Amino acid sequence: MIKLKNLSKQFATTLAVNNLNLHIEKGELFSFLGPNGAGKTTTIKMMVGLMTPSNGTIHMGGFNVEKDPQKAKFITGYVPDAAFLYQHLSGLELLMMVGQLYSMDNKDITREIEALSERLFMKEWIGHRISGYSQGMKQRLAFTSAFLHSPEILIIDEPMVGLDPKTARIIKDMLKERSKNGVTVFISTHNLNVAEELSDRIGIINRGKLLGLGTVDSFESVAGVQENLEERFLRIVEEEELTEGHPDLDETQPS
Amino acid sequence: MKGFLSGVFKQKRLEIFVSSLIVFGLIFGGYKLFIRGGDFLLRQGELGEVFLDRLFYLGWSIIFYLLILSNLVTGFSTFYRSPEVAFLMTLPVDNKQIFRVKFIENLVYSSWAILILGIPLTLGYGALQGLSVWQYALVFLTGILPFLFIATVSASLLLMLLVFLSRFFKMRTVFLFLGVIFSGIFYLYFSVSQQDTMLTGNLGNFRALGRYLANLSNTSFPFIPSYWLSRLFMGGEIVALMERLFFSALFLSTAAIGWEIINWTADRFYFHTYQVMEGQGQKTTRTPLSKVFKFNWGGLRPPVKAMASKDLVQFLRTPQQWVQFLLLGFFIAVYLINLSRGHLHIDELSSFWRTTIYIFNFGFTGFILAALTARFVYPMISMEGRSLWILQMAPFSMKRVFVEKFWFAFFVLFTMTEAVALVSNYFLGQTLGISILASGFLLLTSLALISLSLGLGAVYAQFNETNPMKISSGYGGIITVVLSLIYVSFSVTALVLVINLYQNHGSGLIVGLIVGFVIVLTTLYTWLPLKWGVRAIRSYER
Repeated sequence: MIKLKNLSKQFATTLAVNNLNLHIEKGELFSFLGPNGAGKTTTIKMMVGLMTPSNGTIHMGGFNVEKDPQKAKFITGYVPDAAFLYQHLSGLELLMMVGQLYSMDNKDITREIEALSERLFMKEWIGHRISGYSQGMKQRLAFTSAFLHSPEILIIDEPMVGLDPKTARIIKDMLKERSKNGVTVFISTHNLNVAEELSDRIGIINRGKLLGLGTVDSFESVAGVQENLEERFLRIVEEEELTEGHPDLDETQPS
Repeated sequence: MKGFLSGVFKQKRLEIFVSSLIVFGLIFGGYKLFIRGGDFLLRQGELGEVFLDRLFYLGWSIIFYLLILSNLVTGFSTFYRSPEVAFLMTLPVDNKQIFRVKFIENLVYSSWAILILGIPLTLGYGALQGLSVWQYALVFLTGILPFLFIATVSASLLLMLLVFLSRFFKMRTVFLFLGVIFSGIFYLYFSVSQQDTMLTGNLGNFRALGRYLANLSNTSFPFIPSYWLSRLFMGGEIVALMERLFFSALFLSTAAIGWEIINWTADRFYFHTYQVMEGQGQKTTRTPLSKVFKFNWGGLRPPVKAMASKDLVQFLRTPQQWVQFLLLGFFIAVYLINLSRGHLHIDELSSFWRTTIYIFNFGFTGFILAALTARFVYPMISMEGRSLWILQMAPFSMKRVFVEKFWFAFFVLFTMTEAVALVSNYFLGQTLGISILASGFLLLTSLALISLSLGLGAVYAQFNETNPMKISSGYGGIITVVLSLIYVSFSVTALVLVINLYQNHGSGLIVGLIVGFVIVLTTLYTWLPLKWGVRAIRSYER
């Protein structure tokens, strides 16, 4: 469903993403782990078409993001790490607008908004202006706008930022449900608990390079040594920073 | 890498060079035009001289009001909505110091663009009055600088008062109140002095002009700085050295007193009013405007409908936008009302003056369009702000976003200016043939100026700036204004030539060539900026 091939992004003197190869199957819930500045957000922005790769290709649901961006975007829903939304609109107006941008019928938009706003406890304030929203309210609205057109692929950058525990639980459940129903979910996070709880597979990235790829279990028991995900993650990143590479793991092939 | 950097530097240098050339071109062109026009008036005898003085006074009066308005609108975001202020407020810095820094910032932001447009007027008038270099220096240091300063002080005081009042009333009501006050002042100013009829009507009728000027002599209000500036400029024989020094001292002392007053007020009220504004964000409303998103819009496709609805709702919920739009609408209404009053005595005028008035009217309409596009169309892309990702993520090309914005602006502005042209032509008793010709030229002008503003607005986009007025008074905005005025000048010149040939049964081939030239120029103005704009947005990454 998602294919990244030899993907690189160069900013002036910084190589933000370095020859990344990744293949994520339909219905898979994949977490992209990495410390701050590892290249997670840059990778995501290239996947959703907000940035152009310096090298390599991205296919979303079989569509090349550079050559066929509109078809790729049509099947994708995106939640950014910091959701900047039109301040002068109300939440309801923003969702109407987003639904129409995806050529949805007004009746379908209204029905989806009803269902999503009820589940995410937004009904009370959805008619109010976004300028008065808290960070968590904006994040809930961003999730709703990403879910609205029932995309086949969901790309979420730092999903739990600003969410209270109750909403975070609901979002996690919604992501799991969608994944079970065949939606491919790609999450970028540095929150190991989220990755551990939700993911079918995990990819670890640092300095733009993919250092490890596998299931949570495979990360916790490599070479007979029992480590939890946090210990394993820290060890991989530290080793990479010392050696600028990790010889034990296949960096390019999906498991 | 070195090559890349030097390439970027060269490109930037070229951009600055070309833009500076355009700005200097405008200043030089405007200066020459003023000198020519001034010479013509001075050749008409004493009446022409007085007429020129009045024109200069009128010009600076309008600049003074525009400065106050511009300061008010930019001050709103500079003093109260800037994230930098929010950060500074958390530091151990005196609020008065923060206010002072923002005051200077506001002064520079809101004045420099208007100042550039005022330079040709100032230099041209000074040259006609035979001002020496030291007199220019005196006028600049003790006249123009305090003039700008006083406008910023007045606007800052008014702004603090308005924000204070917004505790008790909605911001929309406060801005509406402000709009009504300004409109009232303008209406009284125009209807008492009838200065607009001076520009449009009695130029060929010097007896009427004499009566008009006699009436006007009581209306140069001596308590506003534009009057003092006019007095500072006037030639040696009219104003003695002592009088010049008096007005310089008046300017400097007023500016000094203004500085004391604004500091005193800021010390007591700035933080208080800042807190009032902080509370505004929490106000929430449900309005009938939401229905716009569900409205059918004549069968438009959903994505286009979504963008148009969003643009309309955002415009109507941004007071900086609709208050200024209303004010401009009011200016136009005053102009049309004065034309309808029948002061013009068109029948008494010779054919030459009649044509001149038609052309002036067309130029005026073109100028309105240039002002509207530079002010309202230019910031359209920047106003997407950091929410641009929503459109970038949507399943259609950025070209479509431009097409939607273009037609949205075209529908509103072309309708408005075409209505002004048709109504004014009717009052001026223009023939149907010339009316249709002028309408055709206006259609081309609309296409060119809207595309220019939209395209350059994307090339010079400022996505982190939320104040539309600040966006349009930036560097790219000035380039847009200058290029728009150049287009309007070409368009007016072409229309003059075509009307002359039409009235004198001139060569059809030459008429065709002129029209062809305007069409080619319009195509370039329409196509190139839009192409550059789409390319700039496509390559935009954050």
